[in-house]
Amino acid sequence: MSAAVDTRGVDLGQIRAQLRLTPAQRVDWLIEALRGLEPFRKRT
Amino acid sequence: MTLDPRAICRILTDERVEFVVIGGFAAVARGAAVVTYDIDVITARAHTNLDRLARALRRMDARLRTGSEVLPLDINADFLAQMQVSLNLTTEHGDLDLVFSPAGPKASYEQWADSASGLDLGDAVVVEVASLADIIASKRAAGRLKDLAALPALEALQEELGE
Repeated sequence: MSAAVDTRGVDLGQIRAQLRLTPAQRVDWLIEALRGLEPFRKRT
Repeated sequence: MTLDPRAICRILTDERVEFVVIGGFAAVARGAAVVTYDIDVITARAHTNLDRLARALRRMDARLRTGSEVLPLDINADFLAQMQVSLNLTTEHGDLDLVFSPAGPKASYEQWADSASGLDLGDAVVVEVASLADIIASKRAAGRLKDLAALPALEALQEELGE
């Protein structure tokens, strides 16, 4: 387990990385993440 | 259709719709590293605003999204005024959920707007985004598995922000 993962299983390092981004960069992050996940998505 | 929340928000702001972004996408904009496949918004219910909303929805070719089907929809302000809980739509820019009765202590647009603040999503798109505290309270109240699963990350974010 990474030292940056807390007892809830939350990756604090990732949270801190997101907080260094601007809101616009966070939107870009989401869009990129969704593009990567698209082939695996099943609409429910 | 991969979600393009910026494009959806641009059309809503172009049409001068009064709305607040809530839910998972609001959490992302506030700094949460969670993945969401749609954008949730709550809007003012005045007829003028619903008229603007209907125009925006037509511009983005919004259709009704059900579990397995996408159905055409004749969207106008009168139709939107009849909606009491939510309206799940798919658009040419991805899925959009209109939430009329959100879970949690804040039931109206005005209540959400009170503690929302403007965020620049890029490309000159600035929208009102719900506070993290309101997002957390609503997800906790909704109590769905996916909402509860997101809570630890949102609460950790809240702690990091010192809120």
